[in-house]
Amino acid sequence: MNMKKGNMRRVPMKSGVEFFLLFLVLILFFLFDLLSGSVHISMAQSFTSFFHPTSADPQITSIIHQFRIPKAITAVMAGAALSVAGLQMQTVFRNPIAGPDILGISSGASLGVALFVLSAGWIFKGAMLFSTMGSWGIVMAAWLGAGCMMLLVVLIASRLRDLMTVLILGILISSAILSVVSVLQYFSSESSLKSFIVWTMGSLGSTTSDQLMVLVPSVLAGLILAFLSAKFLDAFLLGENYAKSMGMNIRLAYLLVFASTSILAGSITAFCGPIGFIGIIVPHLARKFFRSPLHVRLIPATMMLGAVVMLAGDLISQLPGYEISLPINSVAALLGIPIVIWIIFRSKKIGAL
Amino acid sequence: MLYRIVVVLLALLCICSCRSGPEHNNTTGKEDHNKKVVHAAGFTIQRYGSSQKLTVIDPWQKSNNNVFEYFLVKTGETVPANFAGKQIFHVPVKSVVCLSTTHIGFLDALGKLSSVSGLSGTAYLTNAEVKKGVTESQIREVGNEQGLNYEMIVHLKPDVVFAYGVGSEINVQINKLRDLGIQVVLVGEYLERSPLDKAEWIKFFGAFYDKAQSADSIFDRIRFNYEKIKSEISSEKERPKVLTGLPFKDTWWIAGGQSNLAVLIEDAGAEFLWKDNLSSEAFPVSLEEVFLRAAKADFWINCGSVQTMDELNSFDPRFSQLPAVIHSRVFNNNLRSTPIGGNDYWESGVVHPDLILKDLVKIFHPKISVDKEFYYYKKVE
Repeated sequence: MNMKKGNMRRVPMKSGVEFFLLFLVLILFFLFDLLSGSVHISMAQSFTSFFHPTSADPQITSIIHQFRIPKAITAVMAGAALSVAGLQMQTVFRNPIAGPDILGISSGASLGVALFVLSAGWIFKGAMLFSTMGSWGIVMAAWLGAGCMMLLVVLIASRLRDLMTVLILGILISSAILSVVSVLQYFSSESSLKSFIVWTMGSLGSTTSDQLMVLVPSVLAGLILAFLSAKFLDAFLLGENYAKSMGMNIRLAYLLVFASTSILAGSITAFCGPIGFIGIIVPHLARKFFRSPLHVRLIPATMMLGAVVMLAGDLISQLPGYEISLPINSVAALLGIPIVIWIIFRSKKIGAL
Repeated sequence: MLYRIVVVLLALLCICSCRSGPEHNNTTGKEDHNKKVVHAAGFTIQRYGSSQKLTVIDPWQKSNNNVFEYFLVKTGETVPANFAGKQIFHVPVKSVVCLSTTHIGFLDALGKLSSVSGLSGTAYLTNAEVKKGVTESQIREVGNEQGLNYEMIVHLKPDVVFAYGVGSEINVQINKLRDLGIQVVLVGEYLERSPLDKAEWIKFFGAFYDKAQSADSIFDRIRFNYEKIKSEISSEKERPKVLTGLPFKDTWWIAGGQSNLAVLIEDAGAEFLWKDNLSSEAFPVSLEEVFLRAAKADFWINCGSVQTMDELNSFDPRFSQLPAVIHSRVFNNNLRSTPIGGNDYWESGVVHPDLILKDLVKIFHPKISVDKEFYYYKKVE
């Protein structure tokens, strides 16, 4: 028993209890998020809207059902998806600062949206296309972009033996794509540019119920794939060669992991715009709190923790009391950086993978 | 040693501070105190015999005490003594380059479109005559902002370039053009608080073409029409509530409570839902807040470049429940628009605030004006 150092050595709780507590925290944050928004709605009013919808103020009920609930669900989905994707990327590449967009998925999505929003004028012979498809158009464009990027990465990965080369190529292609996006921005009109910039700031509140019906199944599909790859991820931790020597099917492993990451990150980027930081931070938090290298435990932990962090970010970005809210990307960064610094100082080395 | 350095530095400081500050108008000698009465805040006109001095004040947002003076002398006449050493323009100008399509509106009203040799944004034109000029290469595209085609402008050798600034970085462009021997004039009509003040800039343009009287009478006619419509509707008790703008992602950009659009809405006998806002520019409001407030809106106007109701709903279907949408009272200002996104509202609209007001009165008080056609607006179906 190592009592000498006197430095708080946590008695490891049974992980079942930890999961339960985390789940409670998640529910709590979810409810708080429903209460936060620019329009002031008291707890009493929300309860009546929920349980006695007929007797509640129809305006308030509308706001809760059509704005707050979809936003909260989106936050949960985004937090869970991005965190799990980030976890997978950090494990596969054994890189503590890897995130879901390390292979350029959000760059691909940005290119899709940029082509759609910024050049709608001269490529598609009129801004008509943008207007007629509105929000769905952007979603499709982002998905297409992310999907193409993923295909490219998978193609490269299947040709190359070395994973590090895949990573480097992914980063390079990502940079190239962002340069193309810059060129498109340079030539676009002011209003298109503004629309594009607003998109890059991320938004959780613009997913409507019918969009959720596509988002939620996609995220669940991605999460299921992630679960299936849990054992592979454990092996990856020990290194690619060790995994191969254990007889693991490397190709299948890569396929599962890349497919899962692209579905998770691609869907979120398509509906919410590129949201960074969460995918990098949360896996570290999960490893810190749950102290288990097993991905069977880490994946659900990351999921729930990611959802909690995203809900917290949304709560903060709503600036309770003010009429306007902050973009989620900025809040995620501002929230994430102190947490990373705290982690570094607590454990003196980042990402003890 | 230190003492000497301090003295030298102080001396340098004094010398430098002597040169700073805005250019002072050193008009010595007698002047014709014939200052033209102009209601617009962005410019003034002063006569000196048959010559004029135009002063443009703060022609970009957040500008503070930036004054530009332009001295206009009729071609063939001698330059007055007190104009010596200043930036002289010989009027009437024969060839101009416009960096904004709103300038086309002014020049069209003055009948001087033929003087345009270069334009920014030719793709978004609606004016047929100018479009023809572009296709026949009489009028060339000169790019805009960072992508300004300096070589093209030099090649066109215009007498003046009408420019506009969004921030102080416009000075970079002005200086660059001046180095190339091109004279630039800053036009700040878009900053005016009311649509009539905006239209009054026609006098500014008129001065460059030696058509001051023409410009004055055009403006007087516009103002007369506008005031007439405004006073006719002011007796109307019912003031419907109006929503503007469009949702995008998490925010809705609403026109400022002091913006031109807000003024037009009030003058047309309606109430802008955010009239208590103090900004003259558009500002962001959260979707929830708009949803709540717009439940009271009777009309929804100026919704981006939306053409049909389906398009409107595709931006955010939650707003299709607004009463304005359900009762089909959505109107947009793009009746005269081109497929690529050009809109005459932003071109000729600047000299036709009376027509805009007439359209708005027709929208908000349909019972009063039954047989007049829409000019800029159309119903979104």
